[in-house]
Amino acid sequence: MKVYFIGDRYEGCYYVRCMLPLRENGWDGMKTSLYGPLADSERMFQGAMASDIIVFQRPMDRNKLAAAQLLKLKRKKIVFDNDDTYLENSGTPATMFYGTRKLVKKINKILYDFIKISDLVTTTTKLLANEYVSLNKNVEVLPNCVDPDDWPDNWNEPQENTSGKVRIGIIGSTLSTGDYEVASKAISKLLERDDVKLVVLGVNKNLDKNPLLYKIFKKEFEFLKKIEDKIEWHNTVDHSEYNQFLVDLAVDIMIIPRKDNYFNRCKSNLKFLEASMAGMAVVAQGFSDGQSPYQQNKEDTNYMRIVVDNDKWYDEIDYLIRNESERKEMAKKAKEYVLKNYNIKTKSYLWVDAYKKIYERNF
Amino acid sequence: MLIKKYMREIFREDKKIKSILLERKELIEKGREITKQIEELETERNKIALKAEKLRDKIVPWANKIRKEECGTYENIEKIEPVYDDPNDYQIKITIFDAVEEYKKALDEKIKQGKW
Repeated sequence: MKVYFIGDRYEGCYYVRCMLPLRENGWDGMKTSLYGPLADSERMFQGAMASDIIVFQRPMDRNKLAAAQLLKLKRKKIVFDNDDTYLENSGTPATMFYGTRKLVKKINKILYDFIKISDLVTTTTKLLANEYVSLNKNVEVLPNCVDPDDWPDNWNEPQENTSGKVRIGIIGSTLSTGDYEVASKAISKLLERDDVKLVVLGVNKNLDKNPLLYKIFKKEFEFLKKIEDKIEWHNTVDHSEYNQFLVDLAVDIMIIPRKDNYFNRCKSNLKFLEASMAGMAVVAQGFSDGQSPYQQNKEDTNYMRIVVDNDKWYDEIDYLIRNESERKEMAKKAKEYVLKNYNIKTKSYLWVDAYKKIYERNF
Repeated sequence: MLIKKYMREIFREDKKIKSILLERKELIEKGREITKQIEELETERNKIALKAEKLRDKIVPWANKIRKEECGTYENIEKIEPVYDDPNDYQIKITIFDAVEEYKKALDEKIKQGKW
């Protein structure tokens, strides 16, 4: 069974959803290593033609749909994979695309058309699977995982926080999509403290030089500008350097606030996995019905602190600031837990099992 | 199911044809077994290649640092390899190439062949 992976514009998604399973199972794809080259169209075509199954990760344009239809004529099996919803009015952030609401609608139509022609649909969460099952009955949930080989701990010593201050991180989409707002009271209080340093990464410092980006990220950018002298503000980095950068930030506590909307409910626990791998203790968003991305696997909640009532963000963070040994122990145990339960080296068989079901239908 | 309804079976005795059929069946099975082994070996080979790529990924940030420190504007790193007689006593050899000189060399060759 030969499998070929084709991603779209989001490198981080391709890494987690495609590169991790392909490397572990000896498959192929448009990119097979962090720093390696991206295959051009001709090589992608050759790779797809030499394979039995072609996985399209979040195929957002009609050309990919047309390619999949042609590949089906060549008796190839098509897998659609996605890890975010594009459902209209679901809370899909404006930062995910460079355009208008109309564009999200258009992308969603393409994604749905793709799902309908696919032999298998794979996704990250039960909620997203439920959205897709009305369009295709073959839907499988394949969890996001980590590859310990890609984390610097294995070949380099991680950075220790020697600043004398507790470093608190707001990183990635929690910053760029405005989700930090649910914890804004806590953030304001933390900024007043001398024993705390707020570390942010996700919106670039010179973003205002690009009018389009400024328009998209105006709210987040202006928020950071206002508190610029009190925070440690980092520009975004290439995905290939992300893990090392995250470890080097030497953040003690990662906070993961999320607005309660359908978009966020469809998200996976990936940020918890990454923070744990980087040795950070996590305070993450909970929803009152226990269905936030960080609550869906009940066991996960034993390895982080969950905030359901948004007025409690400060108390939960403060608790971890004050209890250093408990914080460090929680981070250590979370890393062990993630390595045991979300390690691609022991979970890669899930992809083999899922794909085998459609591959064996040929015989 | 529809085809089966109109199918019928007849039987014949012929030792020679039977042995040919059995030999053919055996060869097909052997061929399938070898195909399976080839596929498994191909997957194993891919896994080894992907592991080597992973190791290269770990060297890239270090190599980029060296490039920044040691290479001129038109230079880049060609190869990084350990050089040793004794595995406990080795050095890392970094081969640097000059892209402009390489281009000139290729052009000189074309000139020599009368193609330039």
